[in-house]
Amino acid sequence: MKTSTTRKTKQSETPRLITERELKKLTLNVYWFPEGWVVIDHNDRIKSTHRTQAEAAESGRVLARERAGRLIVRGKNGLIRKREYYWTGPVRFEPLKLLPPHFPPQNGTRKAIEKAVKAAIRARAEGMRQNN
Amino acid sequence: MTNVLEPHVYDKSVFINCPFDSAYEPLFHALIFAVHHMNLVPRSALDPSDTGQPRFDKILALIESCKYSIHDISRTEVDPNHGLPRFNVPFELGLDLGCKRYGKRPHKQKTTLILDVERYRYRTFISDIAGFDIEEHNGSVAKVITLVRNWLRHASDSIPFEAPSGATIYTRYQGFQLDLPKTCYDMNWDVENLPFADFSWAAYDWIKNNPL
Repeated sequence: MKTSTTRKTKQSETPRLITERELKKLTLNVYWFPEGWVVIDHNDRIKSTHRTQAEAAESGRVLARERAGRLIVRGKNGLIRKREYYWTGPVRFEPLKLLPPHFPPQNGTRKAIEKAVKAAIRARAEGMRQNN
Repeated sequence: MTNVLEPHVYDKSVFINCPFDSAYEPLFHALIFAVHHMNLVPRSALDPSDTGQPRFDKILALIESCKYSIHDISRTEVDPNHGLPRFNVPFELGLDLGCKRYGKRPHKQKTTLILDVERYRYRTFISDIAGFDIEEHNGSVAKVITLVRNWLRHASDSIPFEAPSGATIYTRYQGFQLDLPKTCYDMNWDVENLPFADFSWAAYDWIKNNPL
C-alpha cells in the first residue's frame, strides 16, 4: 500500500538543466512600488498589487508554485530579503559566463588586450615558480 | 543608444557615479574590478560610447540603461582652484532617484548604493536623502570592494550563491594590480593615465583568464 503521495527522487535521475534565460522566465519578484507591494513577472507585468509585503509574498508564492519556479521577495530598498524555490525535481543551473564590457576599448583591440593580459599572468606565475 | 528595452543589458549594468579626480582613482578602479568580478558590467560617464551626444543626454541614457547604480558623494570639499564645491555627483544621484520614482516599470526596480567617507556626514550637506542606507568606506579600497560585493549579492538575482567574498576579490585585485604594469607596457599604455574603457577591458580579461 502506498503510504506517501510525495514523489521520491530516484538516485539515477539526472537533474534538469535550467539556463539563465529559463531561470528568468520562472522568476517572480515582489517589489515595493509607489502604488503598493506588487508581484511582477519576467516581463515586468504586474500580476497583483497588495497593501502589505506579506500579502504580496503569499500571492507570489501561489504563482511560483503553479509555474514550478522561484519567488524573490525584496525590501523597500530593492535588496533581496528572501529567495524561495518551488522546483518539482532536482535541478542544476547553467554556469554563468563572465560578461564583457558593452563598449569597445579605446586604445587597442580586444584580442591585443587579452594577449597582453595573458602574457602578464604567465610572467607573474613563472616569477613566483622561480622564487619558490 | 542603449535603452531600457534591452533587458540583457539593463539587468547587467551598473552605473558608477563618482569623482573622476586622480586622488579618487584607486577607489574608482577598485569599483570597476569589483563590479566585473560580480559578473556585471560597469558603466560611467567616461564610457566611450556615443561620444557625439551632449553630456547631459549621455548621462540620462546611462541612468536609464542601468538597473544598479553606485554613487560616491565623498567629494564635497571646495575646489582649491575655483573656491567652489563640485555638484555633479549629487546632481546625478538626484537624476537616478528621480528615474526610479517617475520612470517606467523596469526603472522602478532600480537599486542604489550610496557611498561616503563617513556614515552620517551627508546629513550636513544633503539631508534630503535621510532614510537611505549610506555606507561608509573611509577611503579604503578593501572596504569599497567588500561593500560593493555585499550589496550586489543582495541586489542582483543572477549572482550565483558561490560568489567570492570581499576579501577574496580584494586579494585578486592586488594580483591584478601587479600584472597591470606589464599589460600596459605590452599595450603601450600609460599606466598612470588609463582610460575607463581600457581599464575595464583589462580587468575583464584578467578575471576571465585567471579563474578562481
